[in-house]
Amino acid sequence: MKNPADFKGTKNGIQIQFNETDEFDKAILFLREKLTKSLAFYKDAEIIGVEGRKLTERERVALYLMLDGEFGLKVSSLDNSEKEESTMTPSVIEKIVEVEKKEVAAPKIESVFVRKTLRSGVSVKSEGDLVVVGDVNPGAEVIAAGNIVIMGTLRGVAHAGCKGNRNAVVAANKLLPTQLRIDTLITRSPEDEEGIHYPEVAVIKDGQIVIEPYN
Amino acid sequence: MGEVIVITSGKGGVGKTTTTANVGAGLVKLGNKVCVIDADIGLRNLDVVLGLENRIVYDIVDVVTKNCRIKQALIKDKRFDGLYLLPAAQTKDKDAVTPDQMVELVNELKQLHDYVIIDCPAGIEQGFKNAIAGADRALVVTTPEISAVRDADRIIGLLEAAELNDPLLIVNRVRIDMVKRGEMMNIEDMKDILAIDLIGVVPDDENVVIGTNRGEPMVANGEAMSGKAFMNIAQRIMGEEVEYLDLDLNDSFFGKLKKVFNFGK
Repeated sequence: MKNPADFKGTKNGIQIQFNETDEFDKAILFLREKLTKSLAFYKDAEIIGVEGRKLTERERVALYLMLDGEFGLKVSSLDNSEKEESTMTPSVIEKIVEVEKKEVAAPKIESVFVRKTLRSGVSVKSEGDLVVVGDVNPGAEVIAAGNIVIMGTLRGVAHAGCKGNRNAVVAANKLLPTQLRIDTLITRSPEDEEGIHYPEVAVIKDGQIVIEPYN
Repeated sequence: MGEVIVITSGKGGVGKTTTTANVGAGLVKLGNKVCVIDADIGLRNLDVVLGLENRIVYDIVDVVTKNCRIKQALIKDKRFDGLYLLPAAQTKDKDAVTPDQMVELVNELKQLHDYVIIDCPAGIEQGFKNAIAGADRALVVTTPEISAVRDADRIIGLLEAAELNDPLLIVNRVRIDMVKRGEMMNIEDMKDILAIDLIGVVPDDENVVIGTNRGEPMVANGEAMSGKAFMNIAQRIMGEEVEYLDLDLNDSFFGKLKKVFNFGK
């Protein structure tokens, strides 16, 4: 029994040979399996055309998405070697793929802004950055996937980059936290902190949390 | 129509009951009709501090379950004319009363007294929720210790969430000698964290222990510093501007104290 489709090598590149009788879905599945098994073999190949089937617009896009999107192969043309006019040139296909990707794009990440002092027992979380205009009292906690900025005194617990972000920072007018966490690192204030009266920023440097003056 | 004030703290043992008894008695001495309510059901103490425990027949649970009329449960203090106590139950616990029942009770008492003062239990659970239901304002009692301040902060947050805004602070058991040595938190640090206005500072006083054991509130003792401090708080509650006590004979310290506190309402 013949395969639903095949990669046919020619001196100019690779053609995808479809068997007319078979369904397109079956063919794509077959091709995908083949590519998954021997990607190294096809990696540097150039797809120059299609034979044995007149592809619809949708089928073209699906094929392009698989070849280029999934496996990163170079696709110069999906035209029939019979030289049929097609409006779906690779560049047009790319545009369609781009638009489709944008529509499914990740939801916007909102940052959180709080304009009051956070008392003991209060917990504020953010998927983005977190700004507090007020103090964070001991017993309160602020947790963000992004950065944390406190225009006030931080005496509670702050955890920036909580979803895995080594570049997150914690900044405060007065940095006197019970505990400070960035990504997976934890630290606390040194014993003698009262003397400092300027804003500070905590960042990760060389694998540990360091506190620098803001400036 | 009277004012309902709840005395709360979060932390236990900082002086809520002592404050309730003394501020209540103090307000009576200033000519008011006052009812003090012990909301610490199951662990009642206000009756002991006031020396009224042998006269309890009915308690707050009897009142809310309509086992008796309010007037039957109120105990009239014979030393302070105008002071009434509604005692807690000792054999029940804090689930015996609901916030709605408290509101109903307190609204009825408001009609008959100038001030209704509620002694709140320690904690943040049902007892606390019951005590603050129906209150018009709150006084937060704390001692100059980190743990007490931490709990007071939590309580203030909960009070604000319950729309009891602008609670006032009473700092109890202050030892000026330790503050001077830097071994005890000073008022300024506490105000920095708690961010509410002060209404009173009460020094640590041996007389409180003696008075409690005898069932005599400090305000009855003309000499005790704590008694004077509580009287001042009572006056401030009535709207009077009263200078803070000189808890120390050192003039410069008193001068500093004056600057730190604010007086007006």
